[in-house]
Amino acid sequence: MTDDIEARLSASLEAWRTASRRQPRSHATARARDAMLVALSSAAPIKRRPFMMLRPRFAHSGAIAAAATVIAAAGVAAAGWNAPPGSALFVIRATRQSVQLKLPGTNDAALHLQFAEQSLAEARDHINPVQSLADARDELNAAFPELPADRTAALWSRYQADEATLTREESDLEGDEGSPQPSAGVPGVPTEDTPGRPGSSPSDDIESPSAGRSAGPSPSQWGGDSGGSDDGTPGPTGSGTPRPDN
Amino acid sequence: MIFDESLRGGETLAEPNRLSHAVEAAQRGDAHGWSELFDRFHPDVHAYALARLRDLTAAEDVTQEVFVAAVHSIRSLRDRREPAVQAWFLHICRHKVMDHFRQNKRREATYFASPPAVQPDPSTIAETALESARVSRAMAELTDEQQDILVRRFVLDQSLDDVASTTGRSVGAVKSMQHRALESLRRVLDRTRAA
Repeated sequence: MTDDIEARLSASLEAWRTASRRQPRSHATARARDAMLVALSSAAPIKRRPFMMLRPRFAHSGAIAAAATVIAAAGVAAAGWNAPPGSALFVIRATRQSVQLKLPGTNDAALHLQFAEQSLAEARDHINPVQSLADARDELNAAFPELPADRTAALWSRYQADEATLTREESDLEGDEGSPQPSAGVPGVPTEDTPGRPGSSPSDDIESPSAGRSAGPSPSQWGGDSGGSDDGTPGPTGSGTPRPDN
Repeated sequence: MIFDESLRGGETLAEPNRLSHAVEAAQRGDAHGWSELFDRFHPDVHAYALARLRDLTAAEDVTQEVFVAAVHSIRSLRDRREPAVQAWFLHICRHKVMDHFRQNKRREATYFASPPAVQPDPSTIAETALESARVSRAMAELTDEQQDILVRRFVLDQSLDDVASTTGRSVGAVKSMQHRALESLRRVLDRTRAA
């Protein structure tokens, strides 16, 4: 159909083409060339782009790359937010916990207990249980000096419950592994000499995420001799037992 | 910057590398590079402008404006292959043509006030001039896009593939648009002949 129309119009189109393809007049061509060269001589010299400034065609690419980087970083951070111990992203979780503890106005005891409970939950879920229990122990040790002097406070009962859970989990773990040594590889596991005390001092050869968070003495250092209660609960009695300044 | 000596001497831009070097030189502000581009593309730009404007003087003015504008914007040209460079000049030309129409508000032809340069036979000249003037007037009733397609296809002899690639359309779309443009042109010509 198009060919038919083309054929019908061929003479007209050819006439139009011939007229349009005529040579431009020489003086007009020379004038156009001169105008072009004048424009060239008056054109601004080529400036180097400032450092780090992208060419326009790459500006979108740069924005996309930046957005992708932010999204990727956010994804990694989200994945590492509650990464289990032993995973590659655990450092993100440790960093997050350290930052949380350093924020002003936070309740350090509550935070340490929260971290300990998270580690206990992971141990129950069989996520690297040995390390999880060690982390829980470290967190409880760190929480201890931060607990309020009032032993009727809710944090105390929470602490005691966590301590009991930890002891039970440690026993279960030992039973599972058939290991006769109660605290081998698990720092802070209560021994027969100090039943239920939180102060089985963490071993130095295991580095836990909470290491170094608590500036005060370990519970065994100041709660064992004079502050321990008869039922095995640790800590200050509030009467005559010095507490570290928080 | 010193322009590549191989480009001097008024040779045509036959080789792809030669054109690429000319564009590169022009982008650096080299006059010889610009002269090469002018020699190569001035006829096409002029033909496009003349086919669209139907006014020789206006076409010459627009052609001049195209090359002045090109001097200021050549750094945006990335593809240095011939179809892309030609399309770039024609793109500028198309916009200059539209600017011209907007500024002058006139679409009536003052076409071919001067005689054609080549005059083989007076009767042929007369017939050709008459018919081309009729086509030019009919073209004025087509849309800008239809005129653009017809100029590229029938004045500049661009292939369907070239038109498609340089206008960002599919070959099928170009075919379809060309068909509609020719159909419209035929209707207008039939009507003017009947009148």
